[in-house]
Amino acid sequence: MTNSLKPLDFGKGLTPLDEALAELEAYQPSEPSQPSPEPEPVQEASPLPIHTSNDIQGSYILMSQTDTYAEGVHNLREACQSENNQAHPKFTRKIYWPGSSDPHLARSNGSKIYRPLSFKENLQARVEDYGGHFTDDPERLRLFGKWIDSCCGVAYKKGTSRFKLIPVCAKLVTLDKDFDSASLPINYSSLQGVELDKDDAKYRQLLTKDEVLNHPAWLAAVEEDKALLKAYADIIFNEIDGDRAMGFWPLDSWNNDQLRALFVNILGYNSNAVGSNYLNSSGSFLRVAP
Amino acid sequence: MSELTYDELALPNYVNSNTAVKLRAQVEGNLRTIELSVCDLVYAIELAGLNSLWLSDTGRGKTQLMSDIAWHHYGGDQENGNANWADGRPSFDITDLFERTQVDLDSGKFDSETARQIKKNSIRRMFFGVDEINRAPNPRQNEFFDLADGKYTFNGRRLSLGQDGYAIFMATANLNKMNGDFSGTFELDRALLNRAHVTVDLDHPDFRHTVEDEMLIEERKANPKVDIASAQDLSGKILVANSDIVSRATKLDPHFTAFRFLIGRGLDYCATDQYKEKGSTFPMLCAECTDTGKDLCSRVKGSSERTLPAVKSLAYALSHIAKLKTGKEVEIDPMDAALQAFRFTTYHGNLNEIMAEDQYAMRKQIMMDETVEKLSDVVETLRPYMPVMIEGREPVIVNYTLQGKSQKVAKDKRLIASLRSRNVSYQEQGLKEELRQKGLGTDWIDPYVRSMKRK
Repeated sequence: MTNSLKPLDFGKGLTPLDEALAELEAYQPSEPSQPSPEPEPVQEASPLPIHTSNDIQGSYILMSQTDTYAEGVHNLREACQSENNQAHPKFTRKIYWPGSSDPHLARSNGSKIYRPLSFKENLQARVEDYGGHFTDDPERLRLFGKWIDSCCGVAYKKGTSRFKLIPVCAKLVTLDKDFDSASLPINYSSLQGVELDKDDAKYRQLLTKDEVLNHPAWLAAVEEDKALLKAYADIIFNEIDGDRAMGFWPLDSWNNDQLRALFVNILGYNSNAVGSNYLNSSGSFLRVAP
Repeated sequence: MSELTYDELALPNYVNSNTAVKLRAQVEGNLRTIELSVCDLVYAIELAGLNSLWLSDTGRGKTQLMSDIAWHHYGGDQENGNANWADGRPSFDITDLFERTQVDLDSGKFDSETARQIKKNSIRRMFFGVDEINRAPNPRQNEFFDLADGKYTFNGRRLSLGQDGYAIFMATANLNKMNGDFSGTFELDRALLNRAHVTVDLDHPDFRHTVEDEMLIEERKANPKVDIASAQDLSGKILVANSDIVSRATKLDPHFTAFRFLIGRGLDYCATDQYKEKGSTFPMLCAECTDTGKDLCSRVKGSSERTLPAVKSLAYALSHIAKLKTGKEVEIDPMDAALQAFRFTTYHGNLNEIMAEDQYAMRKQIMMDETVEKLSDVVETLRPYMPVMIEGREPVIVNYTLQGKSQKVAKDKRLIASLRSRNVSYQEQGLKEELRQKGLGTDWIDPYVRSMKRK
């Protein structure tokens, strides 16, 4: 008897990758590139006190897109180092008491590394850049046509609906260049951040302007800078057609402690704050001009 | 020995042409649906070597069915037959089947140790049928455990029943649904139920005689008694087929393994429970639950480890019967076959009892069929991810539309880069999130993918 059980093709299969790539290769796009959708979960970071954003003065350069988040972090760092960038913010590395991960026993080892901008700094960059153009200048939206990754971590706690926002997340800043997983395994309880609950507010849906301004996750993401959030929301709700935008998009569910990064999406995707993206799914960062 | 044929299996007296199983199959290059009748299901259960319990109110032909199998497939219970037959009665004693006492009156001595002897011929028989098992009280039902386990203990030694590892136990029970499930003269022992790999409710609309069947039976029969078929012993051929099925079923198959996780860990997940599992709180938490997957997960809890071997064997056996019936090479999808097999394998203790009573008046096969229908939606969700997982890759699919054509492609860095560079918007869709929304646990996915990667 021949093997009588065999997976059958019911016409719901996937398009082979080679075929898809060939079709894309032949396709000529007509518009500038846009950001991508919302992705998913994974791992942990070391315990650090909450680092916050800097007050940045300057203009901004949109870095070339990379294949992974980690690659983008490293490209940014190398670019800043090569130009001895004095305007782009740095992160001070910590060293720990041998065998301990207690943040209270950590101290600076004096070494500083360039870090990606925080979520708040990215919003600030968009607001400032927007304000530097006339209202009918298409260039006013130049930073709104590409999604922008940040070093703001989103840590998810297994078996709960709780997660933390970490404005400047050491784990993300110090990610190995070849890190290539969807998320980073973490010990949730060891991370310092603003804890939120997915069940306590509206998530994964578009919001009205008032809802945005009072949304706990948006407020935590901008480190309680209500004036910045208001200025940013004014721009977005002025530029979009409808009355809803700026959803906050954590993972829908997760079954392990894991860390991801928060990014702000393009205007065409309602400028959502997305914390569900895969870390191994492209990187797009802003660099402060030297 | 020639191969078993479909005609040889045809039961001489019991008639039931109702369609019990429908399988999508590839036959000579074409996709078509193969329908298997209740009788075909019986054959498949035999070839799979599974224990079965046949339930119904009186008058559905259970005894006739079992009698036909015993006599027409296993040669009956006479001297050279390969079947043992017992009736569920309060006076039943299993030793009557397997032991005898031989006394030498000339010597005048009686030593129970030597006088009691095993009936080797009975031990080697491959079919063990018990009619109206729930007419025996529970303590008596315990005596059937050994039969269902394929062993018999004699003088401290455990003897294997049957031949070459094949021994099937078949029982019928009168089911009085007004008094709840499985209660007849006496309730069926739970442990005995758990030993039945397959349970078939002949009162279920899909398993009852059709009108045509009833007319044929009326035409044939002059009296309502059970007809004894002429003896035919197919046990050697059944053994060969069983050996082939078992060898296939014992091999690891990624599709069956995924299915096993769906019906095991997947269905054991509870979003509401503190420990995220259907423990003692099932189904009490279901009524108030608002989880998106409630429609499926509130119906049934996860199946035990023992279920999958039965599902696999029955799936292969259904496919074998489909081939015998059509006389052609058929290819059946393993997930489809597993879903059909799952309809019959251990459902009595897994279904939500409260729902069964409130919504189905204890018609559990109807509830099970509707549950399997919902589970088949999950299988359809899983299907496109299978090749991705078998390649050891994270089950994430990228959806996009290019020049009006919708595409689904396994996630790949080059694809993402290409989409972005060409300003093509896309959405990622992950298996974990999809299954979670359908109420299934996903803790098995990462280890499963890792194990595939290692292969």
